[in-house]
Amino acid sequence: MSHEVRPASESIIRRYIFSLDHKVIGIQYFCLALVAAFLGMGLSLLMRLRLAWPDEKWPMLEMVFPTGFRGGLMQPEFYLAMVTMHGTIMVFMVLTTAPQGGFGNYFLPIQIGAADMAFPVLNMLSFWTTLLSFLVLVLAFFVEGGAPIGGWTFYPPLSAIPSAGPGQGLGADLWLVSIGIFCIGSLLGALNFITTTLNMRTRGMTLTRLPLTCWGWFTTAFIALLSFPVLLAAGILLLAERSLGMSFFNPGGLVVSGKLIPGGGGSPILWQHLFWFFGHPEVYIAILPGMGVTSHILATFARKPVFGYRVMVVAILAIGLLGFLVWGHHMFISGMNPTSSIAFSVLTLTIGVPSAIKTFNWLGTLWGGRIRFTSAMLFSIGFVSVFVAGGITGLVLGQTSLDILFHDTYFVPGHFHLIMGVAAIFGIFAATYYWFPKAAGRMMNETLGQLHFWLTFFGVYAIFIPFHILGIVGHPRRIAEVTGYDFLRPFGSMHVFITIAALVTAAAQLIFLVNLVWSIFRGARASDNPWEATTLEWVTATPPPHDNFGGKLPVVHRGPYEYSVPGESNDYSPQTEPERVIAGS
Amino acid sequence: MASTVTPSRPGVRGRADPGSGGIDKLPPVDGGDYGSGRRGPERTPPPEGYRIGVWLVLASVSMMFLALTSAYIVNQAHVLPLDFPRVFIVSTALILASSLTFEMTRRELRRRREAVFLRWLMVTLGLGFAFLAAQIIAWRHLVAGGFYVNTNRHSGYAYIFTGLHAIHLFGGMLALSYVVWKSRRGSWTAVRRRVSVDATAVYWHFLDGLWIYLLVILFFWR
Repeated sequence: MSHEVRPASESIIRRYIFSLDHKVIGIQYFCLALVAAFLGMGLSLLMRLRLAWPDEKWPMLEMVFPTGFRGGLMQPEFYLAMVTMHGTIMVFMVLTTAPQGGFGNYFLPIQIGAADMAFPVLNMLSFWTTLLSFLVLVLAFFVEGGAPIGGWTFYPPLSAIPSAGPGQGLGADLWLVSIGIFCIGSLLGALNFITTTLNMRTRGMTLTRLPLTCWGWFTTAFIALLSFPVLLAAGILLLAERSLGMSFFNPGGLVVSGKLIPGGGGSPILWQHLFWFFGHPEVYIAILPGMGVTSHILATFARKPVFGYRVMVVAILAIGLLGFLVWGHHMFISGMNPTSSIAFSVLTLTIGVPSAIKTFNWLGTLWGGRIRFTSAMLFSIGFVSVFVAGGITGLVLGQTSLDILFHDTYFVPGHFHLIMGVAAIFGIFAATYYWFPKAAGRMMNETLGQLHFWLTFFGVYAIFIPFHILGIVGHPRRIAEVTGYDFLRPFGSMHVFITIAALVTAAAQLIFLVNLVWSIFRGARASDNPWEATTLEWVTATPPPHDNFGGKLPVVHRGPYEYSVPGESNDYSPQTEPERVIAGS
Repeated sequence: MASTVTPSRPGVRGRADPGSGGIDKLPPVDGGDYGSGRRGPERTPPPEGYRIGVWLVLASVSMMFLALTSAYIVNQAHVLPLDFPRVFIVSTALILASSLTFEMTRRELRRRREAVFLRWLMVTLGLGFAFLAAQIIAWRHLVAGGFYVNTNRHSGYAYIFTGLHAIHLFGGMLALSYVVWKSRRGSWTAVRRRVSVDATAVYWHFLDGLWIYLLVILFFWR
């Protein structure tokens, strides 16, 4: 049907490994994120083992991690290394790669009617740079001292002093190098996304006809473009401090193991400012593509246009902009000026406004729709649920007076896991179930998808609601040793409950994995438009040809969500369908 | 019924789609290679992509240097002692000259004087190399004066700032060399080449301005 425009002499290497095709690159990113997600999940399960059964011996694990499990007992430093690497891998290698690099790379060019990204070579380089960063990060597990232990936030002075703990030597250097490389890969990608969206839309695809997925990717790219350089700057300074004996962050007078650490005059708070100026926009990078996908999928399966399309676009842009102004809410207990606290607090609560607008508009999209409860739809509705749950606790933490109590307790991971660890992941799942037929040419198994959803949905609430309770009680975070605190003694059984819920939920993800892999080979053949959706990716063949549209780029005549338009014969009108000319007008 | 437009070569009007009158007055959608000389779907974008791209690069690079500046201020590094290597005057002159020669390059390109354009381009590249050489000499002078990377925070920032600037300038030179290579090969259209040179010029002038800024905050700000 489509004629492939591709040189016959293209080698396997060029076609599938160092491919310039955005679709292949998207799949590469997705596979990287999949591997990273299971690795990160495994690390979290190790953490849960320690918290539920602190005195238990694990001889099998000691074989894999001899220094981490002396005598079979998990060492506290090992636990902290798990904390650090779990956070780093999940935030960077999963939530920053899959939604944007994975789905964005695959579907942005198609949804705007282009043949490829603006800079295909840069695209390929972005992926391989990101993969290199992942490999360098994982290398930290295999060097003397192991992985760093300072949390994914890597605060100095701990992170500035190589002798401060196991993993803080070479492991920490590798972490910094990895993150530096990741920044570069991310920046190259952001460049590509923005240029593509601005420059390569097909005829008729005005900005107001862009699917909300594209608006999500576009805004995310802008956020990445402006925030990752700050992380890079911070990383360069910290690496210089550690390896060249500088004192950008070292305040001086620090004693480690009885030895006075040289240097001084630096500011640990400086790192916090630099890191969180990046760190807060980073979490919007993690969630905005998921929001775009949610709007997209809700419209498709409710057979209704997105409620308030233009407002949704403004909300995405507002979240993107406001995200740069609130980093101080991660530093409320740093001793900052209370006036700054008020400013950051007010701005943080303000982000609740566009977020709430989006939530109500999602509900408005569903209202009165003829809903088709496919797996993708379930995960999108689930996204709304966990986004509200997680978002509400954000409003709690955004108030300085409350945050002073909750900072560094389990309340904070309760909040961000519901938003990032669940909602953003639900966005990834929804996108996978939705777009798998287009990319693989086969359908995923619906029964397994539904089972995956329900197990996961109840599982994540079972895991993370108790986190909030522990936080309210005052349970500190990032500690391996909880049995020493009298006030925490009654909560040992809660830790066991969480751990069992985590193990069950983790097992449920295997259902997804099996479904994914099995369906690639044995799934039912998919038609070009199995969901009867309107946007451009459903206009082209399944899977799309090398140049996306078989040599003829589409012309767009309609908006992205023309479902159930009165007077039309179908309950959906593809974007390429010309407007009906009414006789006599 | 999906509507499509048959691809055409750039500059050639596409055939009108029946029933969608008016299309033949619009420029062709695609099919051509946007003047890049590339075959296959991995076409590079319409040349405006380079212009957009370079402004995005400027935004990004600015953010990094702004972050480093704020760290520099918080660390109060400027109060610590640091020599001013006189060679920096030479390198400043070189980079300013290179911006001027870059403008000459662009002017000759607009006047379609191929050979002169390439000559000015080579001069610019040469001045870029000279700038980098001067920077290395300046760093050696700093070392000779006892200001190593880790002498104090002021010297640390000096090396980091000027080092990062030099890396970015080297990147600009790579971009310029790429333009030379592509021009020589003849696979680019005139439009694409002009846009590429213009985009690289923007980047180059930005680095020039950034250098002056760095000089000021490192050595002339109290």
